Amino acid sequence: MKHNLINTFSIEDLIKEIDYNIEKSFTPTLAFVYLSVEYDIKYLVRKLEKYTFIIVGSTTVGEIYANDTLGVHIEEKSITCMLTNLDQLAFKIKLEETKNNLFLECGKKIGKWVSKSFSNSGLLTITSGLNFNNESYINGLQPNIECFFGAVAGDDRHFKGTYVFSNNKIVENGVLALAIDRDKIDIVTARGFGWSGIGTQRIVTKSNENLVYSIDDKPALDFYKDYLNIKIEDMPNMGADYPIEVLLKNGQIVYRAAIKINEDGSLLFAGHVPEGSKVRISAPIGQLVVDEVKMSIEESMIDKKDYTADLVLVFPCAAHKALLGSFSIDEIEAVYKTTNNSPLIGFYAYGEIASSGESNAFHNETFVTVQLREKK
Amino acid sequence: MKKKELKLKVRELEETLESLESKYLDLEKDKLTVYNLLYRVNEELDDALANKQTFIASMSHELRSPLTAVIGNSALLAQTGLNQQQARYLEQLNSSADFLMALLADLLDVSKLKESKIELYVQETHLDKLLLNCASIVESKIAKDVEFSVSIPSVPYYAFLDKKRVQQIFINILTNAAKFTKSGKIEFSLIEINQVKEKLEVIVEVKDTGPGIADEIKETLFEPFASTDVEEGTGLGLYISHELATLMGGEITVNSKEGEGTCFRVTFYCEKSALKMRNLTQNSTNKSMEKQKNYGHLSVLIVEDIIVNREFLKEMFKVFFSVEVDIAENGKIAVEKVRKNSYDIIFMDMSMPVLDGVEATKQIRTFSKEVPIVCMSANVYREDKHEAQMAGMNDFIEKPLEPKDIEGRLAQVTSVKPSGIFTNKENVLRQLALDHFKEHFDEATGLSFIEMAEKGLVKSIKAIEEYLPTQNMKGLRDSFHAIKGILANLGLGELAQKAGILQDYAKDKDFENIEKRIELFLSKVKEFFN
Repeated sequence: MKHNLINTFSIEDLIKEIDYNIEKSFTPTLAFVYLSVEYDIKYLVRKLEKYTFIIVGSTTVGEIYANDTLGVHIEEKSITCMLTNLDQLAFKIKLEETKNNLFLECGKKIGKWVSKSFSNSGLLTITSGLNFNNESYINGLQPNIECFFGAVAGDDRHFKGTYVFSNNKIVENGVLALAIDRDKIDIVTARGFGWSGIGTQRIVTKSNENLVYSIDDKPALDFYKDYLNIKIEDMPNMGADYPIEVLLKNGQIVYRAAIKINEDGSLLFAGHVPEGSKVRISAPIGQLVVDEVKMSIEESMIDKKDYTADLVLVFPCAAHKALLGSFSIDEIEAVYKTTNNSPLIGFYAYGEIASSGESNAFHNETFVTVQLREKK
Repeated sequence: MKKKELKLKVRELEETLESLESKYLDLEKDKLTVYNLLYRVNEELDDALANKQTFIASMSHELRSPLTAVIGNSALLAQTGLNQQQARYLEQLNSSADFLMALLADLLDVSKLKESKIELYVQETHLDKLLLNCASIVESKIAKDVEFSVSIPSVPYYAFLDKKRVQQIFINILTNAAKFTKSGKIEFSLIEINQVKEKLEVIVEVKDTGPGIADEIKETLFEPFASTDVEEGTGLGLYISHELATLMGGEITVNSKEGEGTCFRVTFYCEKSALKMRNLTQNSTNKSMEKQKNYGHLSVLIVEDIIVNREFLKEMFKVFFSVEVDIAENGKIAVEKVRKNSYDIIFMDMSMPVLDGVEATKQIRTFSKEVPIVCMSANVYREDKHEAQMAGMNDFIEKPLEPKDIEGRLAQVTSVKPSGIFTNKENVLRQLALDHFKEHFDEATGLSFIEMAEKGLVKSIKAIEEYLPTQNMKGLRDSFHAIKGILANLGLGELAQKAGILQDYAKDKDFENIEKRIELFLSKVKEFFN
């Protein structure tokens, strides 16, 4: 597979670079375009109309890229693009705006479309919209697709609006879905954690999907107040740094960031927190988070000797960037090295998606790594 | 400025920038190190806690099981006609076993209180009777030279409270008074009951003329293992009592002077039942005795892994209730048995090998939704209770089982499934209510209460149906509150509890959850009129 990585700070420069690549190097079939929400996305999409390659586009909380020529980089407020010539017949794209908050329906629709796209389908999906219910969407996907991954678009932690886009279309409350033919493309996914539950375990005594009313029969907010003296204005940033660790009834652990405090003392989380589940507050594990992410990739490659991907996609949670600060680059370097220096592109996200059997596939605070390789 | 000076200035600025950057990096590094440290300490604490919890849980099970068998078999032995000497030995055996059980319960309570995992098990109670009962339990422990004055005026209504825990508080304090007072007087008085908003504030005092408490002990009196008596007692009683009173929204204060005596003042809160007690007759005891004999037709399954407990329960059902029970040694066998046979009620142990009670209940609920499953748990702790409820169990009995606990559950089953009096489901609620009233009143009074309650139900249902379309949350909340009270007074606890849940949802303005549950709830309540 051929690829070309472009990092610029203007739409014009991006177009120039793409044109230069097409003229001098190869004709791309698939492009990933990740950028800060500060750019004029409508203008960008108009400018990209002239190309025939499939575009996977999203707004971010920071752009990530790495290859042998450019080295390893994390950028803010930039436009990062990777052009590839992966087999064109192995991909199909669909953008779907979610109407009337029918997230589950949206998931079912995309799930059916993906499963019909190829006899053995996988899915890369990126969702947009601050009120988009990712968990319901994934619940809709799950019956139809076994292998899916992706992320939730970001907006530099402004929490005003996030977008996904492709050829000729922008969606601000919906999904981008890239169906992948798994008979042509080999997919290896890994999910690394980096937060750990602390303190006493308590029971969610009343909740409805993302909204938690009471924990141990006390208003949900008291739970956070006891530990952190949190205020309305501290959300959603503080909630992302100290999510709750949720022990689901099937024994799986997920982390859920609190994104909003309601006046009645209830809390809105970035994912579902089922009634009856056991929860405790959690905190990051410091620089050990880098080891965790590295280990997750190593584990995903245990039975794949001498595996080198054509392309690596990464979707770390924005909280990783906030936690590690200047040391964030260590994490990306570790991932780049563990994936045998394969070309890499990704972005810091508001949520991560990675299927793994029957368990819950929507996460906060994690680092999702996806390796793609053309089958020969 | 000359070029040279400018260069110097730039160099200086570059150096400052470098030093600031390095400071910033150090700060970030420090932050990560603190998180690392936090994580490591947390891991250590988690390990320690897991060990402690496993230890307490396993010790609880290991100690309680044989002790339950000792106490249970002693009760059976007492029924066999003993001579005086044997009866005396048995009494001593019982009192030692009771002490061990109490000590074990105290230790478990302390561990659970520290983790805020004790849940109050609130039920309709005669407050005055309960307090008088505490007095009579402790009376025998009071020295002959000590005057025991009990001043508990009759309370003309029921209160919703946790009988066991309230009793625990007063038995603890009265026992202490009895232990330390060698002469003079012990006064046990219900000082006052105040209506504070929707709750009752109850204030009770235990005053003695004992040696009093030294000032240095007073400060730590309510801490664990701070007993004033270093030779006897676990040193946990006052701590537990204080924590329980706090759990009930109240407190315990102490006023004591060395050489003069001590006064413990207990304040706690409970809810008042709207039903007033009138025409309270003495017949109720006789009636319940009569009922005890009519359970032979019931088909009961006991699921218990420990052989001595199993045998004891088998005997207890036989001796006290003339019931020949079926036995399952673990959850897996129980599931198979429930598939093949039809039972009126199942008594299920929580922790068992092969398949535990929770898992077994989950499996049973996939094919049998109706059969009542009563959890036999060593303690009604929040997480156990929650887990059992989520699995589909209907009720709890705390181990060791006593005949009166079992009788209560069997009575419920017979009132739902009696021998041929009520054949259709429509009359069940009415009959339950009537049985409830008949425990305290004659049938005519009971029927007149039902008639009154009916009017209230109709009014509340109508109000709820009016408020639903406009999502009037205040109206809904008030109506659910009203209907909850009526249902509780009718003795329909389960439905009252459901109304309470709906009331909470209305309070939280959570219409979605009300909408999910309301249809089923109203249809259940309306069964009362069929």
